[in-house]
Amino acid sequence: MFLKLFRRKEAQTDADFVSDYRRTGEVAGLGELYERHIDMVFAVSFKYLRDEEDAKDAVMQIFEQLIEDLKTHEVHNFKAWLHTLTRNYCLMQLRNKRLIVGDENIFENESYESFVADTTINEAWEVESRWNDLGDCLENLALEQRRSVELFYYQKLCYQQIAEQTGYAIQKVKSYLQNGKRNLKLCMEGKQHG
Amino acid sequence: MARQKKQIQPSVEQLQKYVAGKMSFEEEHEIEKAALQNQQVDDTLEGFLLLKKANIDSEAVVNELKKAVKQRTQKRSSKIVPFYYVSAAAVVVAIGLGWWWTLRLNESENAINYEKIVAAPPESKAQPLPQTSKSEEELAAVPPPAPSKSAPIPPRLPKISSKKERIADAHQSLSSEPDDPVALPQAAPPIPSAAAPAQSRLLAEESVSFTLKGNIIDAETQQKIAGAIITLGVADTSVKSNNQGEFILSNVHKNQKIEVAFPGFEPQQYVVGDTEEVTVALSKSNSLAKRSLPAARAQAMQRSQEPIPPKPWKEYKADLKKATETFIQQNPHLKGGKVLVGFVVEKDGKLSRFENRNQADTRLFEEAVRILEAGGPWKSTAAFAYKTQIEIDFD
Repeated sequence: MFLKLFRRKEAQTDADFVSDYRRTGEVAGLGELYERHIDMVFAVSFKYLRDEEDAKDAVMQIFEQLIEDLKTHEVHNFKAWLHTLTRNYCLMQLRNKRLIVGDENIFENESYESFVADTTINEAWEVESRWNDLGDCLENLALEQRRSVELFYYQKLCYQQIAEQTGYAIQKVKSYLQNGKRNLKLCMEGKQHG
Repeated sequence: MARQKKQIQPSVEQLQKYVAGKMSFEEEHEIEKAALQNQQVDDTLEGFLLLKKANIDSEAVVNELKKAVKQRTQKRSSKIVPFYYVSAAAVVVAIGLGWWWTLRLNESENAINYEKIVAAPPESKAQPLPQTSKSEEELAAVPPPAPSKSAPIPPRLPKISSKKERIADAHQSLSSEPDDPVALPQAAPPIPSAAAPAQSRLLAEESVSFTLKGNIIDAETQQKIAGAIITLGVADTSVKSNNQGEFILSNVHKNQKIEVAFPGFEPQQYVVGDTEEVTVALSKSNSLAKRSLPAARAQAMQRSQEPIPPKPWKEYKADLKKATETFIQQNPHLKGGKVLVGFVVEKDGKLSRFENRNQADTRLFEEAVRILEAGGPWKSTAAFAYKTQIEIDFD
């Protein structure tokens, strides 16, 4: 019987786990689900907190929060939701720390910036349908951003190749792409509305 | 042209392969593209990169964490089973303690008897000296006088020697002056007659502390009262009556005062006598104002130890409202709304572990947290961190 139970769980999707938990309130199943994504939670926590112990604590604390929150929240895309939960938790930690430490350290790392910037660019991006607008907008981009976007999206190069071709630092390539993408999107939206 | 992009997220293995630099440029491009499209992938990837940079073996840490999560989930589920063992163990311990107490009681009665024998014959001037000095001879180093008279006592000594030594200690500490043997006969009699308060207290503690059992009932209806607070004298230990209205107080001495309180009833005082079982009847109180401290405390305990905001609720709410209004004025482009903030009031009143319970707009949530934190620490009445929530309205 136990084996049967186990085998059934093998094929469970995240959503199955979530609905199971909401029905039964069993944390064991939730733990199994959490283990599936624990790499992500740890990596994301480390990205924001930059400290192994803090990140480990965060992983455990987030699980506790999960136990509570899943009872009350309807969750459709568990992984995305868990990522948001993780990020919010970490930002809260940073915020608490900032009260003691002072602002500088946190704002220096670009991760914070990317957090602030990202909220609008999460959705799928429909560039292809508006080539003309895109061409105009691309022209308006800063040179570095334009080159990076062209090399990445048109020539399908990776960061490292772009860095080699252009002489930009890899980290820079990434931020050119992010910013370029955002600017393109804003530009396209502007064209669409007027 | 409207090619529906499938959002295939790279797996953890793929991300780790990328981090390890074991991918072709094309594969790397795909990963990077996915990261540019999805914040979650981007965060995870960056986390792995940073972990590698920091030389942290993420796999080992993750395994450790998985174990911790397993432990955490098992702890909860197995808690139900050992509960029976715990209650069984509690019964065993209670019986053991009861047995120990009766044993102790008997023993201390022996001690009293002995004390009486020692103290009884103060009339003849010749006797007190040998008897008191018998117990003090090691300490005061008085040469033993003719031991013929005290002969009947020594056989009892070994049995209760530990008690005797303690009593003897007390003798010495109280009558430290009587270095000269002439003073001793005069000093000796008052000691057993409990004139020195410290001595009598010590004796009381040694001898007559016992366990008091009791019942709390309603004077009118004769019904048992559960949850009444029974406070013992100065020691300030208090217990609650159980569902049957019963309570047990250990280490009680005669003449100690006990106060029984229950919300809505007049607190009742009771002076411990010789009986070990007592029934206290409480009568309903007429005025709320008359409540004594234990009664107030009993009520406080009933109120489930909710933390209190830095200001009275009314003022606090008003402050929150003011803060949200200014925020909305400063940020007119934001859509207002309600934020249900869950948080924990730590023992020291600090607020932590904020949660966005209704998935409100992140900016509103962060502002709500800022407002709460700016309000200052709360007053925590609980002995541990207390989880609560508050609704903040941005409109």
